[in-house]
Amino acid sequence: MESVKIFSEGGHEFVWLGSGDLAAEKGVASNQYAIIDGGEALLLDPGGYHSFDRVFANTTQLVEPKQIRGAFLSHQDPDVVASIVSWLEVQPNMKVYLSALWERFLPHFALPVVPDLVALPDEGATVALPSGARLRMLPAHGLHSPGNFQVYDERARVLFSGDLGAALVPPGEWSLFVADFDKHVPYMDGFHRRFLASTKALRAFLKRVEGLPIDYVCPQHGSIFRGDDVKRFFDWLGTIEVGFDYRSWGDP
Amino acid sequence: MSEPARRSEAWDELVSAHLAFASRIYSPEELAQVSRESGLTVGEGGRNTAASYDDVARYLSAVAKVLGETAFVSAKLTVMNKARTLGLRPPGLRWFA
Repeated sequence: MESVKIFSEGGHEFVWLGSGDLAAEKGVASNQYAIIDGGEALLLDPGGYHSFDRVFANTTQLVEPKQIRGAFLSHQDPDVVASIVSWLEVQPNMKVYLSALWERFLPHFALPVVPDLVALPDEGATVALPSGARLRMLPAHGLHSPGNFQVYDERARVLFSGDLGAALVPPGEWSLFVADFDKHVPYMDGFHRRFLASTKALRAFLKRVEGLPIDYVCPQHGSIFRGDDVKRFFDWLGTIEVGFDYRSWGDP
Repeated sequence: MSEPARRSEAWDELVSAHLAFASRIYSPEELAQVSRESGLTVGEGGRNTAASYDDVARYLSAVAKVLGETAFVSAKLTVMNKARTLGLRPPGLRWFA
């Protein structure tokens, strides 16, 4: 499936970068996104290595390779980061946004060069794009990584939520946008309870985004929430216990 | 999980997989230099004369020499990924080291 523009207005675009063959991408279906602004692209969680060919092909239908100016990494997982060595080959000067917590871990992805890393402090950061549009890099620590950020695109009113909202949708039932929220909940439930660290962290994040105008929530796995499903999603998050508040695993 | 079918005749596809990407970011002159250095002949659409594991290894060495270490690491990942997709296996324990 090819790219889909979630938002496009006045040279500012928020784009979902397509899907690939699940077997070829090693069984982890993941979403990658790009924010295009002023002819430049910022990739959001550019993906593991096995998705690189597809993401590169779809991104370069939108901008020239040298216009890919940055990559935001919500956290340190390989399905988020592992393609970075090839992206740095495409654009060695690209900025790489990542929690300062993971700065020393990035070279372990076999990076032969030192990237232009923007080590995000725990409190987050705001990034101005060429058009003047702003991105807020929102702390979401513990959701699921201890050093974890999400991106709120103020102009597009889109929240890129990383693994928050991730869903393991059975083959054949996936759709780009959530079709039936109630039916979608079981696909999210197990992941959120096991992978999110704590209910306290989750509730704190919900407070942080309360009042933000959000039209779309775009997770790294699963389907996109839009319209009324955005509120349903946040409401659902407000009801669940996660991580070791929910249960412990492996204890005798 | 079942193993992919093994093939032995598709070494050229490993090189062409990398060329499909590399042609977007390197100049024809740079890629011609890689081709010369590797001893492979590369034609239209990335068609090439790689016919063995050693040919692919020589190609990757040429990438390292001409395009640098970042290109080499990236190319190795591309080639390994493609090889697994095709069910190709390297001889012995070497894997484009």
